[in-house]
Amino acid sequence: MQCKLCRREAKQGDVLCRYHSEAKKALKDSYARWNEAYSGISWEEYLNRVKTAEGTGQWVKDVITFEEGVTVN
Amino acid sequence: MPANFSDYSLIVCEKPDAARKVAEALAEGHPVITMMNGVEVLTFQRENSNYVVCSAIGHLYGLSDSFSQRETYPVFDLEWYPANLVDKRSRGVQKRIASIKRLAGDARSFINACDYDAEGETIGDNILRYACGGKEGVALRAKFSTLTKDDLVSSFAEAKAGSGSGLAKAGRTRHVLDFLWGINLSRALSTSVNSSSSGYKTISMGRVQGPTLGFVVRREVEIRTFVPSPYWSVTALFEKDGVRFEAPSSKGKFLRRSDALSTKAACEGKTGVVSELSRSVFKEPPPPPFNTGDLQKEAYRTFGLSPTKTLQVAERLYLDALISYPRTSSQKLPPSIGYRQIVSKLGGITAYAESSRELLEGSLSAKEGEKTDHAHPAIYPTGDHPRKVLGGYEAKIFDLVVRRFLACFGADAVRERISLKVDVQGNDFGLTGRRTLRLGWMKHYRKFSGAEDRAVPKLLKGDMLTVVRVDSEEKFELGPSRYNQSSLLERMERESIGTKATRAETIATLIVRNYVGGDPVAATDLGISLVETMDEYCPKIVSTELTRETERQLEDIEEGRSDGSEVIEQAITILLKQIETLKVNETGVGGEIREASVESSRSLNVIGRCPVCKAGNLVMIRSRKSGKRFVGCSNYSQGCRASAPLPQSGFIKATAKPCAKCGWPVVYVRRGRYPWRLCVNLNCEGKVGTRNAVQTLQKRS
Repeated sequence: MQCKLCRREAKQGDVLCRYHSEAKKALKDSYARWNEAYSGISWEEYLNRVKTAEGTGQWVKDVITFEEGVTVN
Repeated sequence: MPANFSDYSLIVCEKPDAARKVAEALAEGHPVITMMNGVEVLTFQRENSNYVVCSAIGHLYGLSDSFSQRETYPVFDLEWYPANLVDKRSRGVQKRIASIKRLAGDARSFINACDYDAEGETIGDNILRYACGGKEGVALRAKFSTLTKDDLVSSFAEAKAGSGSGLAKAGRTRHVLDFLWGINLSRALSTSVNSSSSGYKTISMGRVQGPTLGFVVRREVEIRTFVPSPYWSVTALFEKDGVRFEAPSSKGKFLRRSDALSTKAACEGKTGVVSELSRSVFKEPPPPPFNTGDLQKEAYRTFGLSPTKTLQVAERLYLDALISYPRTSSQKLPPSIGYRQIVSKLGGITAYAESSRELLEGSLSAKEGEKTDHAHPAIYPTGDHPRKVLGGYEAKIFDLVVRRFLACFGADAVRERISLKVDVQGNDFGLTGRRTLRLGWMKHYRKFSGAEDRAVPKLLKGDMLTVVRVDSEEKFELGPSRYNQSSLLERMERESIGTKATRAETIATLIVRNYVGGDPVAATDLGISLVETMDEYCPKIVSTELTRETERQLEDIEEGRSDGSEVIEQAITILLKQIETLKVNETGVGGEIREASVESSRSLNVIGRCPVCKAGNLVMIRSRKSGKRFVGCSNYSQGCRASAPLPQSGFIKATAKPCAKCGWPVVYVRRGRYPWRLCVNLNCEGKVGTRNAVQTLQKRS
């Protein structure tokens, strides 16, 4: 199956390729850090800020666009 | 050749310019220039002996696999052939080889005077071996690092037979290894890609190319998956007796916004006291003289010049006898080059007169680095003055080399570091300044040294300061930065892959192949896909370990500790395994790379967002009907009719900035000598003046 965000092959049991999956993992892992930095930040606001922050990787931005509204497990 | 000119020694040089320099330096009187079959030949006499100087134009022989089909692999039977049979772009090789063969027939002895390094040795060895009929073992070797008269005369007087054989063997082995890796991997990859589609696409991969691409791709993945973390900085603006200055909080980064805001609140409107004031004096020693890599990095830092271009310019300066041989690893300047004489001669050039005068007042001892090269010293100016006014990058690189050389003899610079700490309600703010007390070597190299002074206000410990304002700013941690051509070269050097002479070329090849692009260098989708595929099927190809190990083995050959055949056999064994894996997985490999390759070619033609529909991209298209190229919107099928004509000849590429007047993309056009930027919008406001002028001219005519 093709990745939902690019033409690469999706990882087995996933809808994203290895790179977009890696970006998604980094995005989820960073939430705790941001939450602490702002003494509480909603997931939606977090995505919004990461998307516009300087230095955010392109694959992370792709994931945000695709997964906006996703909640942290 | 002059009549009755016989019983001569044949001198083989690497380039025509070098041949002329050699003849001019050794001849008693002027050398005689004659044309043989359209090839320049120089003859002269010295100490009652006759000499003939001929030259190559780079490699006259190249490796090939007996001209088999491009789909055939693996291939391990290689032969050296005249370069024109291997590469159709090699011009004039046939005539040159024929001339050398004719000259060799009547020669009584041979002297190899090609550049003294693995590449030069290979060029000379092949000519002596194939064009001169197996004279590589008996030919004398003249070794020189500059093309000045003195250096050339002494190198020919000391020429010995067989003294470059290790280098030649290493050079030839390197060519064989590169060819075996290059041809087999490229054919395997190209066949995989082409078997899964129509049309033909060449995918190349090489021994050094693979790991270098690996560096860029791994960095690219880090960048594209990077999530920055926020932090806050707190800076206070202080005032004392009308003098204001800013100082950041000594805590550095505040990882929580609340901490930053509370520090800001605690300091606002308060008074600060200078709690610490320290001064320390330190010495900065001169930098070592340039080796190839250091020169390339410095030229990139100061002029933005690519490593390839720097080496080309430096070679030109070497052929003009203005600097020493620029392909060297050495950071050493042996006294035998004649420090005093060179510095004194440089004093004849106005720009260096003062430095020269000052340095000659004392004894000269050069600052050296640790790196060595048994063939050549570090790069240094010969002291000869340019015969013509140098322009452009030649002038800049010459100036850089001369100033760096002069700086090596300078005294240590003495600088002072001043640290200041201000206490505001238990919160520290710090400021560090630097000033130069004695310029030392910086006097000669100042414009390139990059060391700047930073003033700190004159204050005393215990001084009270008014806090005018406190600012807190949200910032984000920076992710890893992309390599630029210079830092990529540095990484290759650090990992010991490639050679000083070939690293820049490897980077240039990756750019030409569209595996990487831009500056800083970013990996393209094709580059990422290639490394991803290699990582999955044959990781050795993109790993540094194998390449580094091969470099070590080549060094052993150069030093005479090992024989080339063993290294080649080992490489064949490894290659066979990799190729077998690629062959078994041909469909998978081909499919993945093909997709990326198509995507990559497509992205090359995109020149920017469509300003009309704002959804599609403006793409360069060539009409199948008329063959003309133009710009059209990728949303044509959805009804967007945005289009514009393009110049029909010359090279066109997209630029990052859209037109300031109309917002349409701007392209960079190179045709002839002067490139220009062109807004593709025919009705752009910015073109009104030009359009009116053209119309007026048309009316007049």
